[in-house]
Amino acid sequence: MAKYAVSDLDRTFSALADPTRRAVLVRLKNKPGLSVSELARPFSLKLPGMTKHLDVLSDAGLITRTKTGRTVAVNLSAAPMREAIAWLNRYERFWTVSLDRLAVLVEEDGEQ
Amino acid sequence: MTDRLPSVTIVRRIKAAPAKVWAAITQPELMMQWWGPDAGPTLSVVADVRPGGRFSVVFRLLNGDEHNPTGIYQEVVPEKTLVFT
Repeated sequence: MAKYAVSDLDRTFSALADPTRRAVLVRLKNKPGLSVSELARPFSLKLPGMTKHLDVLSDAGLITRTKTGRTVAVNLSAAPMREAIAWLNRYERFWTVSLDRLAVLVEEDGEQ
Repeated sequence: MTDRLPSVTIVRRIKAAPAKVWAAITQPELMMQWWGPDAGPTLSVVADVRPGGRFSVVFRLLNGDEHNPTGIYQEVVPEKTLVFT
């Protein structure tokens, strides 16, 4: 069905499977370029904890980090998410089209 | 991580008797008539419909690509529930 590299999708989906990481992405969508400590604050996470989450997001290609002096600015990178959504859509379409035909098949002479 | 995979839920009401729908989703010659994401042909269906039984479908898309999804039936309650991987 889908032709995407499964390992990339695995990384994207497991990165997205954590509520803290999803919240980070939402915050970055509204406020691009937040620093690691700014990101950590609302979650009452220590910097190393947040850095671990950011490592996972970064490995999945969902964020980019840019170092300026002593500050690391974090930004959203949406391409892998678009791929994940496309994968889900294809899956949904597969079943929608199949079930349409299934319905036609069983309903055609199916007066109850 | 399999317990954390994303999910897609599709709810469909079909206006036909449960026995008829059950036949369509468990009998290979009927499954061949609806399986697939486009108008390409379904080439073969194996459906050993019992818990632990295997299914295997080969279908060809209109673009010529062939796919062979396979899985295992996990829960089989005739005319009510069919769970497979």
